[in-house]
Amino acid sequence: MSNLAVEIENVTKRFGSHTAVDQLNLSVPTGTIYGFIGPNGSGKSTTLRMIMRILHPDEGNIRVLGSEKLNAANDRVGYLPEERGLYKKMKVAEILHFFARIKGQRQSMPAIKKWLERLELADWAKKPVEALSKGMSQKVQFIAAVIAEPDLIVLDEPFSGLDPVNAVVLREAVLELKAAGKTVIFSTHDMSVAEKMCDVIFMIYKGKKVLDGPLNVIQDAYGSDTIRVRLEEGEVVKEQLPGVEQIANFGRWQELRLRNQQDSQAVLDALMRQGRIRHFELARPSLHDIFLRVVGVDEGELVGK
Amino acid sequence: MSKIMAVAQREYKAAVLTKAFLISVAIMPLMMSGSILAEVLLRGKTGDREKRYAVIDRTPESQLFQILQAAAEARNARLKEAGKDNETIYIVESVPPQGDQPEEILAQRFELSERVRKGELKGFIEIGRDVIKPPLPDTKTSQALSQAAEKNSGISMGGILGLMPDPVVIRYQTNNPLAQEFSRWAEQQLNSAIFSKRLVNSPMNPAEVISMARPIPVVPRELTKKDMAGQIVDGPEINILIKFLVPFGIIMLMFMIIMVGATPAMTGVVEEKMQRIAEVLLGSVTPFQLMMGKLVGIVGMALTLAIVYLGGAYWAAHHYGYDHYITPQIMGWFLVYSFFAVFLFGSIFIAIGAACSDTKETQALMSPVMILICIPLFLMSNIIREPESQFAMYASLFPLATPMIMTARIAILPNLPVWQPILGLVLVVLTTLFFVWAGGRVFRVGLLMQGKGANFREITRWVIHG
Repeated sequence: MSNLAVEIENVTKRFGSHTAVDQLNLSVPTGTIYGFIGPNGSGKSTTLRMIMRILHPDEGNIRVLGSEKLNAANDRVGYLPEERGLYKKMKVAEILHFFARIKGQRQSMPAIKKWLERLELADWAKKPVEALSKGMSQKVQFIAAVIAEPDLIVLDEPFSGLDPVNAVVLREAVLELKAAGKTVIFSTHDMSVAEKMCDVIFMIYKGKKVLDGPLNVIQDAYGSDTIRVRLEEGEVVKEQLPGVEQIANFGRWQELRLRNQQDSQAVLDALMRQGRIRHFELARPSLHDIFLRVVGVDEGELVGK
Repeated sequence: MSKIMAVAQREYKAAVLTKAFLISVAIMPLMMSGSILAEVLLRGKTGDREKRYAVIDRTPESQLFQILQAAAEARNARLKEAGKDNETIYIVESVPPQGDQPEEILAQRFELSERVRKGELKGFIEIGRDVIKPPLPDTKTSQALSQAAEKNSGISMGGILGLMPDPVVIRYQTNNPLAQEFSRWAEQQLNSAIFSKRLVNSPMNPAEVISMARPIPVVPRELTKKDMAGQIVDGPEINILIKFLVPFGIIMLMFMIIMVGATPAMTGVVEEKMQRIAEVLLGSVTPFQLMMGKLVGIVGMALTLAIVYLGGAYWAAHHYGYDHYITPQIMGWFLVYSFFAVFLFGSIFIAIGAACSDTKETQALMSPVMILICIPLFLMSNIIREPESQFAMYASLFPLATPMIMTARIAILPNLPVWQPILGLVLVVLTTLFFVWAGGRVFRVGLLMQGKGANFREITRWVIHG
């Protein structure tokens, strides 16, 4: 078996005249956390659904766990779709037992118990799903996707709508899956989540791949050309700053993007003349920033096609 | 296969453990026999204990009132003796006629009507002056009377009776014309009294005439046949009501089983779409497994219902000694045909559910399907009356109608050629396979479609192109 969990070759998917995914190539190595990022409507969910074989590509091939014929119903793949719901009248433990059974697992009670405890839901096992809060039912849905111990787990926007506490609980659970040797693919439109968790990032925009690779490699490629500054009073003004291409204002601080080869010391020197500096940091660009740059540069070309 | 069974089990449990199903199991037999039961339980309790009626007897010497009063007293005494304390007793009150002039008659009727409105009386009877005189054979009155007698009913001949002059009829005025118990009783009592009084005035021997006038009944019997030992056994008496009730009950019961089985499957699919459960499920089962699981689930539920009802019907039939009308052969065919009927219509309903995005939309697609399901109900009376006709045979071989009509014919015709139910079954199985296949294709496409529901043209395209 190859060490690739998912291989996508020249895949195109159209809905009517709209091309949702355009000539996509992608390889997901086994045992990684692979983040699909991009704004809403960029083709993330369509790609995930094609990996799940819920949608079929118009062109190209997809191999999942080494097989081209594998369908969504395969017991080795767990799936949490973006549009998700549960039977409201069923009890939590009962519905998890059902999801384990349709994945071919009959003896699932110990695993259900373990997972409910792990995600702080043990008290809710006997309650009907309709009694759960949104965050809780999202955690139940996550358990449903992983209860049968699949090798590949596909999660579409698993963190959307979760409060910070639950997001942390879920994030740790995902990291544990990776530690256990599983492959996790998840999509998110929240770049900072991807930044914190993913080994490899795949960025899609308007159906086209715009970035793909290990996070540190991507960030290195864009260099340390960002300066984060906070003045004691007022905001940084672009004029009189040497080699500063752009300033992103976040209110409490400003991010300055430098031209190639610009010496940051010269900028510091110029900044000191604008006011007293509370914070000065040479930073790697955030994913969000990189995304904006990629899209900003290539947008004309992408739209032009 | 185990996935199908897992889905089937969930569907079965979800359907059977609902209050609605449990109530329908418990309540439906009650509703079927409900009116009988209610009548038995509530007899006499619903109305007043005592009902009072006024009688204006215009016959000479009020001879008829006395007979009616005596009959009422005898009836009340009989009821008391039999311990039927909750039966209503009749109190009749004589009101002497206030003159013969039309105004006087009207005034008296108004006065008594007012007493009825106040609730003092339930109604009043006015016996015409000349009722005892036999009408001459050639008069208009006599013709109208004999026509009315032919129709033989109290209400429907109102048109004819209205034409008859008051002196030769008995009027009954009330504000509750639907409660006919008293007026029928009084009609019977008065008529037999009038009949004997007419005879007294004739030269014939009353007893002889009464026996001559007794009608001869036609008694329906089943065909005479040989028993196991080869002895010829005379045909037992036919209970026409039961003969009708069995096929009627079969068609209604199977119709109900189809509806109770298939409808929740459709709403279930719509719900799965609306609550976004469908895609979660598709991560674990294929659309075909999901649909088959649902079908097996609802068929299981429908058969549960069928067995409960059939068992109940058989027990009731056995209890009243009619079990030879519900043979094991009929029950067997009933179960086999119900099984396929639920499968067939279930797959149509599931496909409709998948093609719609909310419950409201299902109604538009449902109506043509409902008409198909209802065909046997439309044809029912015709088929029951003439189960051996060519028409009945062809109707029972139309696959969508076969389950209900063929089972009904099996119940009516003990000697139905065996090839008919078998050919019917083959056609039903083939049709079922087709609809499961087509439904599966619609289901697969429709399940993930959100937003607007599909119409029949789109659904047909899904079936053809997959």
